[in-house]
Amino acid sequence: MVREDKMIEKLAESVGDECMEWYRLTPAERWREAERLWEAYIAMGGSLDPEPDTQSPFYFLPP
Amino acid sequence: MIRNPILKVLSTFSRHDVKALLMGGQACILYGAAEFSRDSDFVVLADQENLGLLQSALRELRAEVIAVPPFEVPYLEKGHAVHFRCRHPDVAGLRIDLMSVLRGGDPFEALWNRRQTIHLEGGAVRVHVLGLPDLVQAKKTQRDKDWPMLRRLLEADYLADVRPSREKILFWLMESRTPEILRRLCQTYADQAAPIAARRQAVDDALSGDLDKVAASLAQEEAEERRRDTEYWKPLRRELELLRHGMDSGTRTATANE
Repeated sequence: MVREDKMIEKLAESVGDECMEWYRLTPAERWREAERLWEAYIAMGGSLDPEPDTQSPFYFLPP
Repeated sequence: MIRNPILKVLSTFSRHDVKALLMGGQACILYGAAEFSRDSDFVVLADQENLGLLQSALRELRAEVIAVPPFEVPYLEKGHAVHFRCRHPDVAGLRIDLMSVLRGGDPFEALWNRRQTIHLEGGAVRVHVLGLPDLVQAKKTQRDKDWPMLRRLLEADYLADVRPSREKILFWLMESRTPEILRRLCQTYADQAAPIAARRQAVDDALSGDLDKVAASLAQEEAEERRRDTEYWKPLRRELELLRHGMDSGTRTATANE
């Protein structure tokens, strides 16, 4: 069950329908959708390594 | 390679009874703030028994420490993250980052008691996830990408919970980062918003209904939290630098961002 009121309409205008649809899913449904993205990502030869994150406190410039 | 390598890590941790809480990007997916992430971040209990279980799970994943610090309790207790890369064919290359102390966070046992447990794959895999309020605190970092995520975490929660508890309403009032939602909260729960306004300028502005002021106060909050996070990490980064220099004079030059 999700909240439905005029505020939600405004939120939808702000974040877009796709994002609102994602909000409305259950955690397990979101996980299944993310799995589909993983399948596509891996099929395209995507790397499992995270992208370098220059703002991370763990990030150091290469020596 | 399996269809979702993160699931392999989660099921391995679960089978070995590791006391670990999923956080970071994967937790954000479950809570509705992200659609996809390659991050695999956990907060773990840093006691000898649990670290023994963790070692067994990491061995099964053929996970090796990369970069610094080493996988030792004192570094975890200081607040460092330990970084691993998996070599198991199902998850080859996947990074696992482990922490046991979060900036401004409670001790692990308190985080554990507030966890969310989610069943995936038709109940076959049980995942313990950092509770939403704790994840929100953990996401208040110096990184640009965490702030839109914070906003989305709160939006998804607000949208999903139509009969909020008093505690939940206070949480939203303290943490929401969407001006329209803050204004609506102040209209609907004015009695609870009034005392919060003394502690949070954005709520005070939302009570007056001025969304531009709310947005400006939220930006100020963000700047302050980013500054605190940067300060928190300064001594830890200095220690990492020293460890790296030690490694440079040895045989390895790996960095966590490689």
